[in-house]
Amino acid sequence: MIIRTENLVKHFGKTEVLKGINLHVEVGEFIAVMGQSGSGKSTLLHLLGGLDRPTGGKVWLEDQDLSVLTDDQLAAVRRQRIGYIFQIYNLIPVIDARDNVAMPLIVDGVSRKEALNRAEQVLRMVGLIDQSRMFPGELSGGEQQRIAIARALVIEPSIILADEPTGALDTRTGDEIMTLLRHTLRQTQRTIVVVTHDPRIAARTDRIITLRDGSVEDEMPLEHRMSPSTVSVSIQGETR
Amino acid sequence: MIKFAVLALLYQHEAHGYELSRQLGLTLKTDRDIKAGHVAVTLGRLEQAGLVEYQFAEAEAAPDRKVYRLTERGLQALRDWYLQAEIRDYRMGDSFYLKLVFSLTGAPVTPEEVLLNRRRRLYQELHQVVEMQAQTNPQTELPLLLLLETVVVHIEADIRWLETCTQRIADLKQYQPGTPFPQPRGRPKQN
Repeated sequence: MIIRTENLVKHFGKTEVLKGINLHVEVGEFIAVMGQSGSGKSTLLHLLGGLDRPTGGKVWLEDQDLSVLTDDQLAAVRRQRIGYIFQIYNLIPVIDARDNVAMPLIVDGVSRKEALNRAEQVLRMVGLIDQSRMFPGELSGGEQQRIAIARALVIEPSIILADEPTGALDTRTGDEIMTLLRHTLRQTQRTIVVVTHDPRIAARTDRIITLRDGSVEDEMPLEHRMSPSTVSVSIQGETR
Repeated sequence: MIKFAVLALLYQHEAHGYELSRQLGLTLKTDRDIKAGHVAVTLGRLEQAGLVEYQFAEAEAAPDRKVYRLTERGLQALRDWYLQAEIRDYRMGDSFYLKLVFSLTGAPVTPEEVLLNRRRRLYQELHQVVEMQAQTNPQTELPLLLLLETVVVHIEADIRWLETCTQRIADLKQYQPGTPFPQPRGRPKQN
């Protein structure tokens, strides 16, 4: 078990955004959290990643109860064990791709030489080693998101949390990003939780958790068979 | 449908039946063989309709091979087919629609269960299609990729419709269909 929540509740003023979420995420799982805007999905992601504290209930990351940590300890957990990917990449525009990727390590006290070495390794993994000296503004949206994925991976996190990672990209580039995340998961045995409202993105994962009005409405594991029953390649009949 | 696929290939070059059935398989990347016999029957009908014509090829191995080509009428029919816009048939009354409507008016299961099961099924299908798509090579398997894409967008549309139904479930449950008047039996009374 990598993440577990117990009766997680979050209020913003009088608004109850999460109403008692119980969640279990296993190591190596690729999970989508879906829901309409206002369903509480981003709030849930923030609580899982220690970016915010719950009003009630608990979050365990591996064996660590996040609720008992001080702000400094929580910040260390975020820095060392959680990789974040956002819709708007959040890259630093005035430094090159390699420095962006190395930044979390440098902030955490790793030597610059070592940090750059490790940054180059993950840039190679996401297929952007040739662009490592380019600045974010010189890269396409898809490339910038791959840099952001490399930055999330460089700390070798226990879990990657992604908030609408393909939201700013066209469908094809979004598909490529999901393929890269899937590939990363296989290569590194990481766990990934993606928040999305896009069915096509959610369908690329192993399990979809749907929130409605702050509660879990449904959890569906997705079973992979090679041949979808809706697709029959035939020129005589309909495809569906 | 196969009729126009045959005409489309014959526009590209003249060919005999076996060649056409092979070419159909290659162009459409279908996982099922297009049977040569099926193509031969189609060619016979097209020939009777005056859309194709043939002459015998002088091949050593198969001296009686008919090589087909389009006629003027065939070309016109093909052109009409290409430019005729197709639209899907939206029939009210597919099986899911019936399940939803009857579940709203009284059923051994709730409409929420009906919607949820449908939603799970659609996501399961979508999962398989997008995974298959991710493994499809756009260079060599473009027709399959295009076909999968049309399936994806239709499933997405079904999901969106389902989402609308789910959001409006409270309203939908208010639905009260009219009841039929009992039909009077026997002959109408004479005044």
